[in-house]
Amino acid sequence: MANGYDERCAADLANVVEGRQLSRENACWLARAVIGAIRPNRDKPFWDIAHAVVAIGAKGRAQAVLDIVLDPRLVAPEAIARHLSSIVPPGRCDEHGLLLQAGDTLWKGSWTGLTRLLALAEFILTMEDLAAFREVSGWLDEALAPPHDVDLLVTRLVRRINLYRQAHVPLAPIEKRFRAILVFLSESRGRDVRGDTFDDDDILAFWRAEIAAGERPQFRTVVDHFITFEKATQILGSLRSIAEAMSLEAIEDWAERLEAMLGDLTTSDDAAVTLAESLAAMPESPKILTGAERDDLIDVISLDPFHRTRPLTVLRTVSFGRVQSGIANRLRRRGGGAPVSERVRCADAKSYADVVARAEALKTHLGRMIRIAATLRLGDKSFDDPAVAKLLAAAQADIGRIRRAGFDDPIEKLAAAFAKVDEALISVSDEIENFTSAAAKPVKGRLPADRFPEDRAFFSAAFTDAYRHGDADDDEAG
Amino acid sequence: MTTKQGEPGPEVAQLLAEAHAARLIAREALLAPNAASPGVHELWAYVRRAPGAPISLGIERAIRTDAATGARYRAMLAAIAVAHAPFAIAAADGQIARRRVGPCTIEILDAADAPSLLVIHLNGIDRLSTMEIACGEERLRLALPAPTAGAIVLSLDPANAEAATLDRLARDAASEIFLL
Amino acid sequence: MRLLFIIPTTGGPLVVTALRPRPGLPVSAAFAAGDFRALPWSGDYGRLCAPGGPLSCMIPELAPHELRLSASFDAGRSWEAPIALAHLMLARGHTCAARPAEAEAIIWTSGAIDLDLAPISGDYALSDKIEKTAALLAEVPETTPIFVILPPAPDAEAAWTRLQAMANARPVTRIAAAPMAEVAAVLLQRMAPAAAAAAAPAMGRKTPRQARWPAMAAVVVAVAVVGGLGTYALNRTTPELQNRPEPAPQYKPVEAVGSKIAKNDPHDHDPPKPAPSSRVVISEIRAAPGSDCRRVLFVPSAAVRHAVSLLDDTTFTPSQLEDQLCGIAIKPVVATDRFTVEGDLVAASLAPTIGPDGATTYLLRANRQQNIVYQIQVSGETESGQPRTDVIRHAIIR
Repeated sequence: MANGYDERCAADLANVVEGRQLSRENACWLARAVIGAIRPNRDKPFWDIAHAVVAIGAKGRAQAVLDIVLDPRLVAPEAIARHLSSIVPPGRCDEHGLLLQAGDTLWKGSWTGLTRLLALAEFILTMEDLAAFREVSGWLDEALAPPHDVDLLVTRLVRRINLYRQAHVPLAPIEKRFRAILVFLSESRGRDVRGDTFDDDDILAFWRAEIAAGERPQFRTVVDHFITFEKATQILGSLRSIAEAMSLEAIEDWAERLEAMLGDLTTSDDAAVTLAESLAAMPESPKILTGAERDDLIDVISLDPFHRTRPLTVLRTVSFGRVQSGIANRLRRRGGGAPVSERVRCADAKSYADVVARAEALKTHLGRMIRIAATLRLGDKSFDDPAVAKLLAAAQADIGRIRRAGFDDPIEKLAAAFAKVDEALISVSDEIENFTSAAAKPVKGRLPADRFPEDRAFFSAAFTDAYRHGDADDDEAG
Repeated sequence: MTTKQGEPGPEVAQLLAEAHAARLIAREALLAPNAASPGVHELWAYVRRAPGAPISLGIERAIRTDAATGARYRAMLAAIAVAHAPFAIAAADGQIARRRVGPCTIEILDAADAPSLLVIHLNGIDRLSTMEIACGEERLRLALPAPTAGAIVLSLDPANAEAATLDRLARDAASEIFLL
Repeated sequence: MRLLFIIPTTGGPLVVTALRPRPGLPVSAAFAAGDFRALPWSGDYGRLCAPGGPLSCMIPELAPHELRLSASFDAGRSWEAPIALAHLMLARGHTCAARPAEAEAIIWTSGAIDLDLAPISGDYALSDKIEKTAALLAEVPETTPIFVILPPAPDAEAAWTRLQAMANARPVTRIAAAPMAEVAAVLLQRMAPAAAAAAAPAMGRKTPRQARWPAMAAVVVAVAVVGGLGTYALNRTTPELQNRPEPAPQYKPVEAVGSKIAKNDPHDHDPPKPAPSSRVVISEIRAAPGSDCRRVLFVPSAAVRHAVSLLDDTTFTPSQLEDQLCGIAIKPVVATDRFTVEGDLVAASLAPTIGPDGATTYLLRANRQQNIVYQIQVSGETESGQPRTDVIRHAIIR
């Protein structure tokens, strides 16, 4: 809930993304359509679905439309084009997509657009464990019969998705927090400083202010908000641009810019997602990375781009975010481990030096794995450069020294496993390198690692303040 | 539009909130572990199978053993069914003389020296194409012939395996019936 | 009697294994053995038996039945004649034999019928069907009689010739194509002992006493066939009843056709039930010996009356259509009852007149059609004053 959606919504979306093998872009569009992050009109996708359904016609039976929506072969534009062209009444489609004359307007739906619309249709049918399936099916039946009331179908679909959003997409607290961030950023500095830039201490100060105001957001959650904020201002140019865009929304160009911004922002995590995916796909055998190693790497990478640009904030999140997450779990479970009153003292918080050291160690380990991967790729080739040859020989010997599961497998099996992941290893390693080198640079004249003692005092005071009521129910589980 | 000087209006916060939720939920969806099988597409194809088509033991087992899958299957079937009854009320002697399935009525006519007959009274419904009946471990789907005088009659001939199964299931008050 | 009704098909003959009323069944349905869905033409069968349908005109209060055949087939309408006939025979107390070996008589007919249950001419591949029946006949005891009714068809005669050859020593009788009710009446005549014993209304609920079919020599069939096919008799020499100068024999409920048969029937005995009674009395108007029906027209005293006996409360024994039969006189038993006549009699006779004795007289026209089947609808009151209507049936057949 911390980020504006609940587990049900995440699961419903994941089911459709996986079931239809949606591309990154289409998955992000679907997420936006469900959340309502579509401009200028968040109801437009449902308006499009209604027209598409009536255009398809389907001999007036909802079952036939459901057959199309739920057909796993009809997920790519070419397949959709091929199938619908052959069954749709003449005049309802051309080589680009579907057509529907509704009154004096001609609605058009391209084949690629239909890929998204069918995914959204599947979402509505299957959301909440098919809670709306029967109802929606009945609405389709009605719309497919004369007088083909498209507007009624649109109204119904929009009403239903709004019900869903009310239950599973609680955006109000998130809006409130962004309003607070905007106010904070404009008030906390003089009028001559741009209100859309911030530094590590701004983030910390804002979070502290939230606690003072009686909220208890996870530090990590606040960091995520700032990441979104930064991406938004980067894509649109500035906060002022956003404000201008909002007021000029009526002008189609600005609406398109906003829509594009939302699209870009949603897909902006692409690199991080790719890395996270590849880490999740690491084999169990050979155990190139343990579970703990993967988690530590993801902790850092998922705060992209801050691991490069604001390493202090990332250090704070890794170190004290873990403490806070432990407190939240303890509150939710109502027991287990140290009491809250002890945890708030942050005695177990990992020092920044240790976090960096851990990152360095991971980097070293990744480097070792990469060298082995290279060796396995090259096989028995000989090289002219004696230095390279020496390196490779060393790597080959290394394999025998590694005490991890699967490393004593036959060399062909090892080579096959490494061949699948070696490029990912390089990418991950690069990102960790970005982090460790950024963390070694002074921020406002001081090395990030040196800030640990005062940060600990700060966080301890904040936690004490936030969790002074001990076992009162928690609201943020991260 | 700004309200106070320097303070952007609520639309900006709404935009940021929606963007924020979309960004993170999309990431979560892309990284989610594999969903349980059978998926919705498989289940729908099974719901739409023609009577007499091959049975999928895997899907039937999932419907039986996994409550969520069973609920999904039934939700889909109920959406395209003309009538549905999750169970029947038995008379005091445990026998089912007739049971209602939506607007339709199903009756079993017994005779001493003849196979029992199962009569489906359509009660105003135009026609039915399929009946699905399930109880415990068993699930049976059969095609129905065209009605005559608003009724469909099936002979529960004990020599016919399908008919014998239908006989047994139809008399069980716990059986669930869909008429499509 | 146990009758085996054959449904001939070009793929081989099927038989009716069961035909029974089923309480609670909303509409009649037809099934094949081993199949639990109704036959493809079950709907048509249901409509044949539906209230207000062709069969229900012949069989009052016809309840929905379950019809079972030995196997399935779905071609055409040729099942209609045998099934209609089966209903009519069962309504008169006969039963279906489930297997050829159990049958006391075999009925073989085929073809579609119209709303009057009359055979519709067509190409029914009769010769082919007859051929395919050979194997079935082999399972039938040689003494079991076969009755065959061939619809008007291009190969009817060829089929009949072939059947006679196939039947060899078996008794095979051909009954002329006619509306099934008339055919049933003829069959009933031949099977009178069993039919007569069933005094119950025509519902098929009572199982009649098993009457052994008289010896072959006693069976007589006198049939006139349309289209100049002539008269057919059995292979055995038997006296022909047609055109006998003496009056038609009196039918008593337990007697068979001809005194010869009555002597041979060991199961003949007095009915334990009260004699049937009807709301009307019917008499045949016959020309007195030495006179003829033309004279009777002008000289009423040239006629003699012969009362027609009842088979049950609503059916009179069929009369013989012969030259000396000039007409029918109908009189209600209860003086206050009224009646109307429907069916062939109206068109076949001159305008009815009421005689001095209160009977309504129908004198037949000169160009008599082959068979005259009609119903008398009697309206009156019960003892308690409730209105009641009875339908009485009679036929005049060659």
